[in-house]
Amino acid sequence: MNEHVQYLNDIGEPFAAGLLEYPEGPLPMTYCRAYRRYYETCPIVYRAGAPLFPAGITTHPYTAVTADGTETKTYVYPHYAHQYWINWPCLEQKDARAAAIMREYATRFRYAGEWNHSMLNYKRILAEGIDRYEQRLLAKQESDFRTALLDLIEGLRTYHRRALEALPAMGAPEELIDALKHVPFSPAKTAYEAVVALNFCLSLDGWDNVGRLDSILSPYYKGEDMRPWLRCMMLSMQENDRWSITLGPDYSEVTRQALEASVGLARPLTQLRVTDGMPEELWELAAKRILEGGGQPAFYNEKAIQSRLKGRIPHLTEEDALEFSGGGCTETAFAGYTYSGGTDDNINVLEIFEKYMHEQLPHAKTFEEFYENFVTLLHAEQDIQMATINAYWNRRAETCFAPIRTLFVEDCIDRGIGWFQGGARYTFSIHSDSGMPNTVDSLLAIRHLVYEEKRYTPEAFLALLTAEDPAFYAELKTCPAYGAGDARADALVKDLTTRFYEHYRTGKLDLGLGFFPTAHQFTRHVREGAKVGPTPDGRHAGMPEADSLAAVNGKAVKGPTVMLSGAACYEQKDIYGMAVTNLSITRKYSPQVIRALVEGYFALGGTQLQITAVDRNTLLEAREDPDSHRDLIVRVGGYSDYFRNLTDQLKDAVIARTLFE
Amino acid sequence: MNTQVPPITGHVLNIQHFCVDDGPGIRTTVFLKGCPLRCVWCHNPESHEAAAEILYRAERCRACGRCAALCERGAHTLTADGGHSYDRTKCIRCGSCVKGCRVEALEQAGERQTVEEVLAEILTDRVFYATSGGGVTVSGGEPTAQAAFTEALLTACRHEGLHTCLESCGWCSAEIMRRLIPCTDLFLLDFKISDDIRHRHYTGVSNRPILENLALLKEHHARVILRCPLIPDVNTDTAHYDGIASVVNKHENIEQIDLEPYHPMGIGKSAALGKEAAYTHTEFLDPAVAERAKEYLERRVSVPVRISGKQ
Ligand code: SF4
Ligand code: SF4
Repeated sequence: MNEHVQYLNDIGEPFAAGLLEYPEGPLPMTYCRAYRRYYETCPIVYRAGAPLFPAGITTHPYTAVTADGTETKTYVYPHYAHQYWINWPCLEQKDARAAAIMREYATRFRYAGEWNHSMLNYKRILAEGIDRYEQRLLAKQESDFRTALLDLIEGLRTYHRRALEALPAMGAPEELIDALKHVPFSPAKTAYEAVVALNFCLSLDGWDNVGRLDSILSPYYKGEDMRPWLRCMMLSMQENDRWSITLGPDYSEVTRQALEASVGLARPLTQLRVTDGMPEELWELAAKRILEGGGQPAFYNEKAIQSRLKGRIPHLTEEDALEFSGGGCTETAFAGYTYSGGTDDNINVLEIFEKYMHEQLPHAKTFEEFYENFVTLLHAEQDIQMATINAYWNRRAETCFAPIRTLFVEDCIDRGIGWFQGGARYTFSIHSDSGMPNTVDSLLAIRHLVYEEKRYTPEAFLALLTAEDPAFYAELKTCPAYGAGDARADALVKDLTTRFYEHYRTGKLDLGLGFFPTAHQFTRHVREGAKVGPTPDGRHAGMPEADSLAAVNGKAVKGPTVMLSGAACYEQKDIYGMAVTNLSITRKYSPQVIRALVEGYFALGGTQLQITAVDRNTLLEAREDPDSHRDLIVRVGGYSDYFRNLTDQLKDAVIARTLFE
Repeated sequence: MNTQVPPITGHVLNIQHFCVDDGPGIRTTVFLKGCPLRCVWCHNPESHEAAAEILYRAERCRACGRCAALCERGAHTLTADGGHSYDRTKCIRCGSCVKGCRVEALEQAGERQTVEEVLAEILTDRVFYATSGGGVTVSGGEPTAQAAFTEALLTACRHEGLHTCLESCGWCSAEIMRRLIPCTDLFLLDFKISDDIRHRHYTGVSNRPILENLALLKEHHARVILRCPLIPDVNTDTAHYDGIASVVNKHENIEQIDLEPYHPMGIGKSAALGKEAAYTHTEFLDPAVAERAKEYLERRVSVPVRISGKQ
């Protein structure tokens, strides 16, 4: 044992010590050994009486023991996306020498670039058991790859055994202990064993994403009430701040139970794949959950998604296409078969536009000239983005290895290639863009005020904008906007987004299929907006960008149907990573209305729709700053008006009633 | 010689998308201008007159003077203290000034539009009518006051295969009603006050023609939903509820009652129009009153009773 390993073990950093056991590689071994050491020493996380193990937070700093037997927190620990995570400030404070050792290590082995997500092949794990994975490896020729994964499995066995030893004293029900005697190493035989195995293996992947929960479990289902078990698993996902489950399109009793089990939880995010044949009962359940607030589940247009993905991936089989799921917030994956970024990088379209506008507006003779040059610039920026991602991916392949994902995602074992190295059956980069709707509205305002009505010279326009002149801003808010029923405005969206997203098809990703854009924000629109000064869409400096591909907040003044028709003009055919559309509603609508909005949007070609019930806070905000919610319409039987048009007294009366009775 | 018939135009107040309280499914409601009634509680006072009206919201005005420059009548003036004054007595409602205002302090209520223009806007939501079982509702003001336009619009919608509703106070000639029956799938007919003297007092007209039109609709087997506003101190009494029940029980073509609880949200508009609101209740109708009316009626009629705005 080298000196560093000894030292790190002594100060209670066993996972870090594991990373150092093969300080010069080979690459698979340095990571797999660390995971083995982790599983040999990590705490057994369980809540007395819980139907599943583990139950609780397993992903953060954990407790380990130092050489003199005292307990200490670890600051080097496994991480589902980056594979290992170091809390540098804490490690530095805990032990400067350890930090120095790890810094040296990290110059050779570390994750490069932004984020990623995955789903293990849970169907196969449940059906075959981990023992079978070991046999598959043993049947392969000797290699570093094989040795490393067998080492990892040793670690998993130890972890499993430690759990079985510890659980009886921790208040675990007998049936859980019985189930764990079989799974996940042997095939699951009952619905309960299936959930126990799924939960166990999901935790190995840091609880990232389940994939198609209903499809995974339905072969085992024999009428059990699985909701308490599913709830336990979902609660752990929430506690660990992890991501998604996908439901449909093979709707079953399990689909219903999964929807019911997640009531009131913020996580996992639920993706409901919608076909023409989705049962009425599921629509009602989904609508009910939406009206509780929180925007779950989100609806996915099965037909559109399938045909677009098959068009983009020539070798995508029917069977694999059916495994379509969302990782993270909603990044496209085929569960069990995929390595995708998610998200690899973001291009801030509005930031690029802002700079371009200040430099070029005074020189452009016509709007067409101004617009065309912007598109050219955008394409050049996209080329840089793609080259950057490609470089990151190549670096990552040389310096990072994903033990759990390589073991459990097809076809890494069969090909003898790691997950980061391109071993998965489908490998593509998912990256995002932000600020597109704001950019479109900015272009529209410039066309209107500078080139068509000629109210301002470019110089005067930019000066008033920079000064954030209140009267000028009031004027900006009345300019044509995307998503408000203006055909010319929607035509501009169509043109810009078509040309923008098509361009990603030209990029080359050395390790995989290519670049799959997503128009989705999560919370990025806030961060990215902070970098951008005042823009002609009426946005003030530093304010958030649009939170989805739909109309900029406050601008869909003709309501949801018109907004969605506009969003359908946002060209989505090349947005393979997922095109997210947010819609806010301001009162309780019947399940039929919710369904009609979703089906209508999908008939227009929309990909995805997330409906959020507006809460009281939004109304309070609208009272403080009416212009921030120009589209907020108060609808009471036979009457409706813009909230901003009400007298203050009436605004208060409306808020008091909250419109959600 | 030009033989082309000029296109029919109407005074349109507003075209509102995504309406879910004006008939089945998701609908687009076309509000027309002009109404022969003057219900004291009216929350759409800008719909009263057939001609365009100018709304002025002083709190938004920045006294830029653009409107003054555009008005040939001198109705807008900038005052010595840097403010802005709008003299309605000089205004002929030509609408020129509205286009000059860049901050929406001036708004024009009502615009002449052709059937084709209105239809084009309606059709943008076609897919949502299909997925929700919705369609078009023509409302007002009072749409029968622009009978030719209403008939042409409803007929054009029918040709497009859309479901049509007509929301009316029912106060029009039998001849007009007869013309509108063939192009209307469902009538949303108001029934405001049973007692005729009180009806005259609060709306300015007798309810006799309304009852006659109800009989006519029955004769033609036209589908009707009866819409009954519930107005505090005006018609929330059991005598009126008995009146509603008696009307409903006499007309088997009335298939539902919609109770529409009073809300005060039209009050601000009167001020913007330079009118005085006749009825100044600033409170919403107590929901319990609507619930009691619903229960009372449910015991006396065999059709469903709904409270508007509740799903
Ligand atoms: S144009 Fe508008 S803002 Fe300017 S003075 Fe007239 S009403 Fe006021
Ligand atoms: S509507 Fe016409 S007449 Fe009236 S104030 Fe405006 S410009 Fe003058």
